[in-house]
Amino acid sequence: KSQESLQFNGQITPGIGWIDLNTNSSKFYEYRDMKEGFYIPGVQLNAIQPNSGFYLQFGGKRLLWDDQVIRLNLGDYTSFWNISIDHKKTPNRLSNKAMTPYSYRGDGVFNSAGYVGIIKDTIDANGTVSLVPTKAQMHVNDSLVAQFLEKNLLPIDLGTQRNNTSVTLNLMQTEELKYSLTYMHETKTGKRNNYGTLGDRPPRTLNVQLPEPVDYTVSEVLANAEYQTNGFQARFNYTLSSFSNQLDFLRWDNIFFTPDTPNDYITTVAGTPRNASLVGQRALAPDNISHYFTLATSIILPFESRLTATGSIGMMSQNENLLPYSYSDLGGDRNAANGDSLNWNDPNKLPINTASAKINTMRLDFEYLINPFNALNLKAYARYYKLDNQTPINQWRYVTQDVATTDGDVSYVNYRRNLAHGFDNMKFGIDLRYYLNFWRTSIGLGAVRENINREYREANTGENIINASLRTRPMKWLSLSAGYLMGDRQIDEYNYMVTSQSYWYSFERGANQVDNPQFLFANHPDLRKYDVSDRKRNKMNVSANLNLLDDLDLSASFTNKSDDFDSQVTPVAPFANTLVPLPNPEDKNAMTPGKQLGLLKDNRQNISINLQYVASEWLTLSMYADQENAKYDIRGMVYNENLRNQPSSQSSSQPTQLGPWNDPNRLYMSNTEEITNSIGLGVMIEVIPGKLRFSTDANVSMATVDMIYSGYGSDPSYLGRDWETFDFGFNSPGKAEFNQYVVNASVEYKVFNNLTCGLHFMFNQYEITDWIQEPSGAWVEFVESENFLRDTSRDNRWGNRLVSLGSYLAPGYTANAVFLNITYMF
Amino acid sequence: SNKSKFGTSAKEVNWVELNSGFKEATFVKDKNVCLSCHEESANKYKHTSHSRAFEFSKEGTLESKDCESCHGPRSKHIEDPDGSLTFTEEQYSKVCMQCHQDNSRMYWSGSIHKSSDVNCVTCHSVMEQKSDEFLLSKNSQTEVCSECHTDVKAKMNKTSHHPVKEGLMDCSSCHNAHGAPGTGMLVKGTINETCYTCHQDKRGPFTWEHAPVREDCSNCHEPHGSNNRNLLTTQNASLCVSCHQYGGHINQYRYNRVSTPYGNGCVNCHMTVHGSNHPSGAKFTR
Repeated sequence: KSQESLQFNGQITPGIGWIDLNTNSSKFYEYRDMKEGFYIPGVQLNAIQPNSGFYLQFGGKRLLWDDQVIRLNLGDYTSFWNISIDHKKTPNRLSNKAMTPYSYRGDGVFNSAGYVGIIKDTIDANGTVSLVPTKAQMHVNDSLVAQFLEKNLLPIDLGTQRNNTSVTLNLMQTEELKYSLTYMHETKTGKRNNYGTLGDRPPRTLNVQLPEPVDYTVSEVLANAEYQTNGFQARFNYTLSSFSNQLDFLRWDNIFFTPDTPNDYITTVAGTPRNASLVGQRALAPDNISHYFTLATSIILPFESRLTATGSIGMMSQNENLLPYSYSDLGGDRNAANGDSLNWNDPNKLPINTASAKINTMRLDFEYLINPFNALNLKAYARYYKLDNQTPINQWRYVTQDVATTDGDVSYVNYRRNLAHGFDNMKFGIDLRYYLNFWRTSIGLGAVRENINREYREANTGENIINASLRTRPMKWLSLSAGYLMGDRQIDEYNYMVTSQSYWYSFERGANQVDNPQFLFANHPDLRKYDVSDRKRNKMNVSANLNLLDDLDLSASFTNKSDDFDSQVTPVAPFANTLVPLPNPEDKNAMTPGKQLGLLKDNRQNISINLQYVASEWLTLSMYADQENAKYDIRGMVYNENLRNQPSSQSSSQPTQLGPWNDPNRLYMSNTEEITNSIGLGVMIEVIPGKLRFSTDANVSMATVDMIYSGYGSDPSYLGRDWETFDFGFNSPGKAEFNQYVVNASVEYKVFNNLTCGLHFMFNQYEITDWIQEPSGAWVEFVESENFLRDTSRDNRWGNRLVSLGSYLAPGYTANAVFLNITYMF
Repeated sequence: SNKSKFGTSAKEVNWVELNSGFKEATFVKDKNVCLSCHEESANKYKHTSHSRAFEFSKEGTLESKDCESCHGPRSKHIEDPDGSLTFTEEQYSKVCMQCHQDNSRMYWSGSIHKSSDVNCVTCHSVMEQKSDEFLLSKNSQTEVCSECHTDVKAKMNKTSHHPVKEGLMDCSSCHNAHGAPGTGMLVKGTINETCYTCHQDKRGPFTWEHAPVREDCSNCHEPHGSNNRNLLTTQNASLCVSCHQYGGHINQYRYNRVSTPYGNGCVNCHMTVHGSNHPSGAKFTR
């Protein structure tokens, strides 16, 4: 009988669409799937049994497309259970125009169609093998690469598709006790743009931009139990999350490989022949698993005060089988005196064969609320978080033997130790809010202390924060608020030598190394990393809300946040106590310039205006305008790390060379300003109430990023030559611009009570100018196609060449689309 | 039993404390009396999940009072149906908390929203179904939140953004508007743990960790939207140079000269900046 009484209602909207897109840009499809022809933008089905309270609700959007969202709910209003099933597809299209000479073979392997066969070495006038091609020879090589690409480039779609399904069961055992259980399964597949490097660093790196395959699944279980009674509630939550990557590595052919060993040198630096591997390989994200247990309780205490306590324990781990140091069989230290007869591609060369990485976390949070008297709210809290990194620290070697010199060990400076970075954060504070008895005014005051201790970092930090706020409503139609926050973060001591902890060679073995970070310094002593530096923060906001009429709201706000990272840097003598014998002993007293390097200031400002007009149910209007202005200043320095132990060296002091680290003339500044202007408008009019409705919205976002570069590298008077032809020269790049224009308009006409026709129009335009995505300076150029780029301002190293997937992988576009829908309600 | 749909052992609010006009008022417990004047509201209300929950849970502690469970004892209102027995928005929140203190509202009392005079009815339309879920006052979460957070709405329109405006994420994917311990009212205990709910591939742990990445994703990323690719806080190479001045090859935007145009600057070679599991991952190049 109850089956017979099942009542249905719902609606289905089929439609048809036309799209006019002037450029097949992935940006148009970035997070959406949109196709011409038949589609189903929406379905809703509801069923209920009035007798039993059983219900079923099904809703779906964009059902035939790859950005669909589906939800099914079923349950019982009387016996208090329900099940919901959610399914969501999320595309992330990255490029429709990328080209690559690589073809995907599955399992993380990309093969090239062949090899370029470049000219490698030459005989100079004295009959000596020169390992750096002449400019003319390198141009021949460039032509060979360009020809190879012209012949072998193939289109490849870049983008990923994330499909997520979750099932949740909610149960109520008693009025006080509830449970829920969720199982979530997600897959993500596709390809994204990334890079493959062979060798160690740029002059000796053979880098290609290539697709990286993505193929992983995530499974999660969330269990929740909740107890609540008068004055007390508790919630326990357990989350298990398992990430499983189907691909352990990315492996690719070296298109520059020339199969005529033993002389297959990739010529980079004179006197340093490098064998090049046939294949490169790097690790992809490892399988990992995490567990979180959380218990939260809240209890009402005397004087109607409330204590909330939350404790959480987390465990993250992964034990992926490690790849060998190198995929190739080039090099090794088989013949070295202290060698182990194993090649670099032998997994037995590793200190451990599985990662054994593990991090435990703990969180404790206490919050106490009380109203000591009616006009005062008080909140006191303490929060503690500890991230305990238990990954074992091992002794590794930074092996770049996929482009090798000769058989043997790696350089001492490549004896590296992985550091188990961890930290703990203790934060406690108090918030007061006092309500005055006029104009509905309240005043807020807050004080916070936050201490963060870090392992293997440059500094621990302690910050005092105070804030004040005011809210008032002097007139019924006017609300005002203002707030101010001041933070003062101080470090205990900045240890610029901390990087040395990631090196493990002995002093005896490394004493003669000229760029020895363990005994000298790695990062410049005047640098302060902004997350562990002193910081003065000032943040203020002012806002006003005007109810000009009953149906008209206008609000405006202004926010400014300013971070000043000035850490009172003064000149230091980093070699004063070094154990390394210096070529010039007087360099022990060499002083840094004492000008702070790194991010110096970051200022972000925002002005917003918002207007809402709701004349009636048949006419609404909304508008907003927003301007965001971000400015950040960075100071850098150009210096020669290979002559770190002899700043007084004449060779490093030449104007056209990388300079010594103590030369204040080698400083440069970049001042960046980002301005984003956004405006939006929305209108809804019921032209014929209940029958004909028109709605439209329009959004414009116009952004510029302008970097002004000054100082060393941009100043021809100092360099003695133009920055374009100086290999360490740079200059202010062109302004990057990102403009988006969106207009949506809809007309819906209710033909019958259960049938509505809708006509929807969409206009999208995206404009982009970005110096980072296309060579625009004199120092870099295309070679025959946008897929091969070179910089010839210095020499003919391979590090100055890049085979890429193309410029502007997601270019600007203009699109118009029309959709005609019919909604049938039943 | 007095089982309530909301399962909260609901504690009834003290109506007289909310509005002294309730003094001596009694519960009428007859919905039809209410409908005789408020039919228009009731017609909208009957399509809401609230309405159904009350309809099928009549034996619940509060549900049995139906309209009066939220609007208070109305005997005096019936006698003199003026507008005196109304509540402020904040008082409405107390009414809602009779049933909704549970689950994600555990932290509501100390939340920044509550202390900023945001109340339940600021965001929810309890008498009318205007959204697919949660009885929101607007069509979607994004619309509700951006009424106040216009700056965030503007950020979402930047070239690099999460798929929020496309409807594939909501503000509640990361934030619990009803309150949470810590800053930002995040759904998880920390920024990173919140990010890992979708970016499990970045979770590791890795053999080679990048310390600022492990500590705080927002050291480098602006999740609400950015003019820089990959939601970075600053232009690609600038970001790296903010912390790395090793000398020579890495300390200038142009070097490696062909990696600044095309791609990600430093990340062209140091592509595993989120952490590496390769034995030669010390410099995040593998």
